[in-house]
Amino acid sequence: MAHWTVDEPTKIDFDGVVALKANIVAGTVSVLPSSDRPTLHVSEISGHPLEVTHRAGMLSITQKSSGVEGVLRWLQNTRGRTSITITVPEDCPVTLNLVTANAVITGMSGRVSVRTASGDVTLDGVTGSIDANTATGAIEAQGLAGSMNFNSVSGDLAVAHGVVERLSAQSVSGRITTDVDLRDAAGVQIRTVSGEVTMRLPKSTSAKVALTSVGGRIDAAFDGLGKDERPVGKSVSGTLGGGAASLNVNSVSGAITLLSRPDPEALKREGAHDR
Amino acid sequence: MSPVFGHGRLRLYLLKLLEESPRHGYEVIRLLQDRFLGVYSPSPGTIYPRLARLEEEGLVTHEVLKGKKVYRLTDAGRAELERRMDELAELEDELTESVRDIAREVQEDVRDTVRSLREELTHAAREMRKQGPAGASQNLKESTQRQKDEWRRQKEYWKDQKRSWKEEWRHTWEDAWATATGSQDDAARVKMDRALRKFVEEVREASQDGLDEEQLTRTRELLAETSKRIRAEILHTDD
Repeated sequence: MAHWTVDEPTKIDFDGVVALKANIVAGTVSVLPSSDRPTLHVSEISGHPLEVTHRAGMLSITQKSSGVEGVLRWLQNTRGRTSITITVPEDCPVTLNLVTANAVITGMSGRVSVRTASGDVTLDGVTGSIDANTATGAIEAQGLAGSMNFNSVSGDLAVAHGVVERLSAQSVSGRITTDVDLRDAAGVQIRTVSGEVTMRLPKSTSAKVALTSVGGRIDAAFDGLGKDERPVGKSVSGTLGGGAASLNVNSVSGAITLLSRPDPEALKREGAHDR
Repeated sequence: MSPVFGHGRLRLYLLKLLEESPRHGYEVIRLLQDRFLGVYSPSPGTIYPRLARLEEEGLVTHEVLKGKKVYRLTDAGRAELERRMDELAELEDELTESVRDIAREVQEDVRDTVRSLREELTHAAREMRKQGPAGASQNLKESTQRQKDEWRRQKEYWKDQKRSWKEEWRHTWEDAWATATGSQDDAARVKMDRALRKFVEEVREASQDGLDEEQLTRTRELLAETSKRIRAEILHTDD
């Protein structure tokens, strides 16, 4: 087991990392994939020192504090900031527990789990399964592939350009915006109280769709969808194409908008040609 | 696109990658993505013409193996690389130092994308409502008793939901502050996860070209048996 106590900007590298866990209060934590030696760059640190432990391939980075009391003290003085960047193998699972800190994660293919209260979560090209939870922080992502689970109370969720196998998103008042392709047999489940939901799907999408809202407006740009007369609230549902995937959106008062875009097929074919 | 490559540096880096070993174009692209932490993803349209140019200049040559062009460095290419060794070392240094900048760039890039996506979708939604396509539904004005009940039901659901989130947050805190390091148990679970993922990927890839009913049935049987045996013989959780 190797252990470091870090209280100034530095760089540490490690033999091999099979899992990463970081508990940081304020600042920024970035995780990048690299096939070189795993490295921790500490570019800014204030407040408690960082405790870095590397044991049996598990890399753990924790800003030391004594229990909940320590957290409270930290919350009262959020000027303390720690900025770290960690490079690990791309398939390394990542767990980040943050308070006001932001998280930036790019290119990882393993399991990614991020919790932050008021920090923002930025995901780019993450192909593993993702679990992101925030209270007020925004979750912004592009180029995702695979399975995602997003929860936020008032933070906005946005996913641009991605391929979804499973997407589950819940918010109380946060807006939910997605522009993704659905894999065959993909499952999408979105729930919100008052957040606006705006989704765009390719024209050729094959999915069973159900959009329901108690009081919010529903608009859908697909011809295959029809309005259901329901005793309560309103619903737009139907089957697009063969109905391979499923899409459920449920809101209390948030508006739901489903848009379509031209198919990426033509572009895809071109891309495959080049290989 | 990241500004890491200016002034013919991509060219230099291509030579370096081919010096390590002969490679085909797609491999070069993948290695570049790797090296630039997924931030710089060169398209085939960027790389192939450059490889062709290097070939014209006599710095690389190619042979066709299994239908793929495999590029290798020529002596002239090696000499060129030798001559620019200092520049290459400098480039490597910058790449290492730029890790932090890359993270910042990723953040800005994703923010920009999300911002413009929101604008685009807002605009598209407005257009759609103007045209009023089939399926677009209008606001219902009436409010019935049943509607009120539905509101109440939804409110209850979210109250529960909030409670469970709060609970979860408490657990997160205990997690975050009590456990500084992962245990052996965690490490094993991680490895198990990885093995399972690899298995799924392999089988999915192998079955990409379609399955008939019989293949599907046999696969199912085999999977069920495997799962049962793992649980009973190895994990002893089957009852």
